[in-house]
Amino acid sequence: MKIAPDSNSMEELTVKVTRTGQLAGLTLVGALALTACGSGNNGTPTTNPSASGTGSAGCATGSLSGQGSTFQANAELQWAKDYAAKCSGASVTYEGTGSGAGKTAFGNGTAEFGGTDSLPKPEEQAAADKRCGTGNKGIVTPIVAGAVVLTYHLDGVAKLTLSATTVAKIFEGTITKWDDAAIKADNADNAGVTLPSTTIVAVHRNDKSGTTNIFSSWLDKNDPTDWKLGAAETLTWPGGQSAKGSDGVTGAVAGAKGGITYTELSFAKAQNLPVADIKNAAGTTVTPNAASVSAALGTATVDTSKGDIRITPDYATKTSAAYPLAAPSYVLTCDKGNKSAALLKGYLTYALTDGTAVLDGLGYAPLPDAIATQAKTQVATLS
Amino acid sequence: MSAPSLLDQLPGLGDDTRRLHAPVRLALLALTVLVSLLLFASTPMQGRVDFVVFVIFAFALVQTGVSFALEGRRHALDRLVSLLVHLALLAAVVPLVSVLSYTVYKGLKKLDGQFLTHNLTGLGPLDTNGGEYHAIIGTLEQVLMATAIAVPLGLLVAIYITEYGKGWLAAAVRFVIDVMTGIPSIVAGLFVFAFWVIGLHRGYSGLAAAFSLTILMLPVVVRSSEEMIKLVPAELREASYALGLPKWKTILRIVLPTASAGITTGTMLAVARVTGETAPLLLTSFITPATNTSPIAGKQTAIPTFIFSQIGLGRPANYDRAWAAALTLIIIVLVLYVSARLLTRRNTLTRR
Amino acid sequence: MTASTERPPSDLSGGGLGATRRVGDRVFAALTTGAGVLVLALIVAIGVFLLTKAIPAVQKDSANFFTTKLWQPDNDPSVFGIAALVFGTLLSSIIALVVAGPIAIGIALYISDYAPRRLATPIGYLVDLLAAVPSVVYGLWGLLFLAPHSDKFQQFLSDHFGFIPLFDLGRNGVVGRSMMIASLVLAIMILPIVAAISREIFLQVPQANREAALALGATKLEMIRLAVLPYSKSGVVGALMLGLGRALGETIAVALVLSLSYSTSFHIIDANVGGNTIAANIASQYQAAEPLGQRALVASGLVLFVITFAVNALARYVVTRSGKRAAAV
Repeated sequence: MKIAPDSNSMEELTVKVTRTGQLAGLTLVGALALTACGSGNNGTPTTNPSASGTGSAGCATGSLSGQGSTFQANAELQWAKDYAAKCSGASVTYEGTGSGAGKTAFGNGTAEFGGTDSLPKPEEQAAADKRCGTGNKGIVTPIVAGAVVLTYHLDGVAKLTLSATTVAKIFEGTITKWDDAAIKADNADNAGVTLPSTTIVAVHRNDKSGTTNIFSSWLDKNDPTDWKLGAAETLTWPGGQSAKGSDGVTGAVAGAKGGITYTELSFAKAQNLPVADIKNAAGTTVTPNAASVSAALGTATVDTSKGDIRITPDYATKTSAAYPLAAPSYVLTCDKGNKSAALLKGYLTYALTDGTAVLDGLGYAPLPDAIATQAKTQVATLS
Repeated sequence: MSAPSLLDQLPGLGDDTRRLHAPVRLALLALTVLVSLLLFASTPMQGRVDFVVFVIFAFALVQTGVSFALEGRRHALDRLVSLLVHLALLAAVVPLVSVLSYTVYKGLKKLDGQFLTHNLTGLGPLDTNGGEYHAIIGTLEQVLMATAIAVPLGLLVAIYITEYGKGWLAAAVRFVIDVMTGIPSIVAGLFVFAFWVIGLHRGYSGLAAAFSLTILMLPVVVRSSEEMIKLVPAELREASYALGLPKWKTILRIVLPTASAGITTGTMLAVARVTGETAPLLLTSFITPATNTSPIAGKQTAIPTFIFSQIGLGRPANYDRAWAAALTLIIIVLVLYVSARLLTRRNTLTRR
Repeated sequence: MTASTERPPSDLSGGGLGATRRVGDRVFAALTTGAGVLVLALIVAIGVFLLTKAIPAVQKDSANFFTTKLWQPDNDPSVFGIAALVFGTLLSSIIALVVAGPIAIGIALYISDYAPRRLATPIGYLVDLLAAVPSVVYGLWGLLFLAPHSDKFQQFLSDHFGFIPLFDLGRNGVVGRSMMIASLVLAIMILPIVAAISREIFLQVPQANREAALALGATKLEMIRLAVLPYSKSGVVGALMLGLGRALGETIAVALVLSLSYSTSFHIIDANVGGNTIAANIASQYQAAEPLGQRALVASGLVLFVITFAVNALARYVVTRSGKRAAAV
């Protein structure tokens, strides 16, 4: 608490201040006592169903921090936990701060890898290249695929099918009741489903989001006449409720009867909310799952011209088994000049191999084989 | 005096009988409750809250009506306003009790030793364990640093205003301190963000959070210290001067110690206020699942931002964590608040 | 400096005492004055630094910053404006003030004139406790308790008072996390502030005035109207404005409770319409914002700073003019 080097007066004042802050002093003691307890980290989990016994191959020690996309956050958290259990001495942390924040954090060096749903913009690419050092550059590697699903809260309705046109009208606010003729028509084949006359509460993201981009791109590609909001990470919504983040919208639907939102499958699963089937561009009704997501990404365009792997999904895919609201999520690293490169390589390889075993349970899908092979090859060259 | 009521003209009734005494009012209330019960039993009206609201409205009507008939317009109005004033108090106490009791009820579910001694690292997405240890560390460090800056600075400013300040400068300082009490906390956060976090490229840290909290604490410390210093009797100072002590020593040895109890109360109230601040911390120390004991570098979660981020995650387990942390926060703030009030009793300087 | 040259030589014989006294006093005076100047510098710095980050962002705005209702600073082209935010900030704060104002004045009167003497101080502390509850806890409570539990009340308003546009739920309306619930939470939060300042002002009314009114045969209400209110009117107006200032800047509780949108609608019980405030928008957008988006938020914060500065300055002026300065809150 001593502030001034000379002058008696400050000493005097300091004494008084200390007296004033007797309680503060006590709390300081408390703080020190608490600090003495250590970091409070949660220990290695006792049960570890997913690390399927490859021994300690691909293990490296050290610590690695990543942040960014909330889309891949649940997968990253599970991988980090399982990888730490498999490889003693390895510690990986991931914070779901959002794709933009992830790219920024990678660019300014506060994270060793960034998670992102969107490809880096020119200035983000420049920042990443600069961080990686002269001659090196920032590259993206697809790490996991996921489905954006329409999840709803409607008592007694366990199965729901929606077409792009109906979804567009619901989120535009032109369909307002669950027993609307359009929704009934979509569900004509679902025996035993009775739609109540509940008012629809359409919940959208109020923050900038890659999920909103996937959702609106799908609508924009499939029904640009009914969907007038375009395709972007933030939209000008005509109405409807909103919440922040994937968890926020899912939580809002869980709390509102008649609610519907678009979110990643993993978040709908976490809340135990039902998920609607979608009529794709081939006219087939598909359920979002690992197989249908991989099928959709199988027809995506892969661009390797920038020295990495950049995927443009086909949201109007005509593959009949494809769930069209599917997209990859990337990690942003350096091609060369990575900090703790060995651990980064080991961890990302784990994520693309053994780590795929946990994906279905969390509501993700593995990348289609062709892309996964490319990704593994690219990770192997990291240094 | 308004027009005399009918009863005023009746002979044989003394003044006393025309007043609504407490027992009569109580009887009226009982009658209202009884009739309302009958109504709720025999008509589609239902619900406990509805009942209470109905009784209050009905009683207000009945009492005003009876009073109007017996005591006249003046007293009827007087009784109505008196009832409204009591209801106003109720309107403050009900939400207070609701917030506190609901937080205790929800928070106790998760608040245990495990929750207090663990952070949120190494958890899978579906895990329900983990705790707020890192947030407690963050809050303690940030609030202590803010106090360490705001209290000496605030005292100096208070001394300046009361003892040294003259002219436009003192008036300006006083005005700015007044206005600073109303600065929204998020603006304090934005300033530190613009100046320190991105302006000087210092990044997020507990220290940055402490700076923003300092801005919020400072005016409270100055205002309360200033009031207390002003209350120190002039005789004490004069005696000190007479003994040959210079002004600065008089202030440090006589004035501040005399006012110390009151200043401590003000400081603790200021600490209680900033301990619960969330908005500025989002912009200055951000959120992390890991424990960061360094007060000067790196992201650092505090209890309020812990609550905010857990609410954002929206799963039942997250809500449980949020409630438990909210209970912790309320306990800390209330302990500070109540001890500050208890300390007021030790204060030998009294207002008025 | 000049003083030392003027000092007569005889002072030297007086020993070092006088010299140290002057040096000590001068150092101390300089120190305290420095602290005062630092405070002035701080408030200027707040304005300046917000401005330096805000101006470049606003220059990149492809729309009018003051009239645009959208907030998409990270889109290409960047589009953002504070119209909807300012609207929501004012609407929520004014509703909060309309609800909390009369109640707070009632509480203040209760403590100054109605409560038994022994209870007055403890009840004052109790009401002050409302101010001690952190805003994030109010947000949590508002989101998970108040909003779900007030569906019936909001539905009642819509069913019976729907003809008033404020309570019109419309065809697609849904009650829940509406502007009204957010405003009610704000009302609870500003209640103790308005009550505490009004209470101080009522207590400053000389007891003799009260006794004179009562001696003339006035009822308590008449006494308050004759002796208390005229004396304290401007002080109460100031207290209300300070409450307004607090409501304008409240962040987290609104961000948690309100269903955020960029609409400018008076349908305050319709959660499908929702609303937004400058402060809540910062809290909700900050995390996902890119550099331009963050600076755009700083620009909106500058607007909030200017609004609250003006309201508070005016309020302090009114309170000060009404007699004494209100207690620190």
